[in-house]
Amino acid sequence: MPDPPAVSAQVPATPPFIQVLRNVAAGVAARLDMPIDEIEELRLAVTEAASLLIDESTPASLRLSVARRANGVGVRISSDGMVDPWPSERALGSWPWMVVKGLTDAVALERDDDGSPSVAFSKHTGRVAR
Amino acid sequence: MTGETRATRPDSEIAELFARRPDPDAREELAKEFLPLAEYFARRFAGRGEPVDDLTQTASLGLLNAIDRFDPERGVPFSTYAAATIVGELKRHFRDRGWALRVPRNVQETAILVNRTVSSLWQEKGRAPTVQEIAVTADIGEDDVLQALDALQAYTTDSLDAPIGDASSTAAESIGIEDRSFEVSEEWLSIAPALRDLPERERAILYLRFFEGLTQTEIAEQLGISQMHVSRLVSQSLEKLRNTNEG
Repeated sequence: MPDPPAVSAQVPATPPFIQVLRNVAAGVAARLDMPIDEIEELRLAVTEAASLLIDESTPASLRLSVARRANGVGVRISSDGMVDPWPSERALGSWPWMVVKGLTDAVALERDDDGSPSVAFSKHTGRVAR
Repeated sequence: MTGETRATRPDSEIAELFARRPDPDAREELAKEFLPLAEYFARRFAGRGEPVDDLTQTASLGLLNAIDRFDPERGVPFSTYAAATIVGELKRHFRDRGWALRVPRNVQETAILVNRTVSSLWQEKGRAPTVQEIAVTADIGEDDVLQALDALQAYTTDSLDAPIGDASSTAAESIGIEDRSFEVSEEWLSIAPALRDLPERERAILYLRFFEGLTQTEIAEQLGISQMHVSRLVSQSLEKLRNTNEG
């Protein structure tokens, strides 16, 4: 999932700052005219993805980038913490992972070019019910 | 005649000052007399990014204009006439700076307004509105809408025992899925043991959302509650699970 030019933010990896990340994501989605129910799910997905990275890689800070996609938004959250292997089996069997999968349209646990563990997902707008 | 507030002169004296008007002394006396009125409106318009001193000056200018133009024959009290002129001058001041003059609201008032707007737009359009649609309809900024939605999500969790619809039933009663066997999902419960501690209804909603993959709208239809309510319950239960994990 290559990232086009995006809005990005880096914050300390603590709960109060997860809120900052989800507000950034929600702000971008609002500007792309995403309906509020999808924005709310995006918020939850960002929260869970950030929690997953904090649980699994104990980072000092998290980096978020949100970009417009043809049919919605693409989000990537990266950790500056260490975890090997990534994705870990524990991460793939975790509740936050299940929630992110449930709330988004395409999701992957991967590493950035610099090796940072990350969660990348996209959320489509006007999504058709499964 | 006592206290800190300056005593207002008798009406007859005020009328006399107006009669003497071209006289600069009379004009100044009147300006002094009604300055508190200008200061009052300057304060009312404060907090919008303009220094209070500038606003007081603008309001005073409005007051002087009112003194010059007031026509006692019309039978309108001067204070009424002056108030309109002063407010007009203040509004022009903001308009000249290209600033929209909005009544500041606190977050709670905005949240109530946004909540109401969301409901009516939802009904009208048959889908969730966008932030822009809400902002235009409610005549507030998009940032205010986002802030209000955040606040609504965080603080206004509807009680399940609150009456819904025609008030003859409660939300809890309308959730008729207790008979479905959520116990089969041992696999699911093993993913998040804390799910066991959630109230049955919240667990059911999470099950439908994340295990059966229903959308919030589909769940809302099935349970006969609003999508907003489902959304709140999902947020709320995820929050609980997270706190349990951290605790």
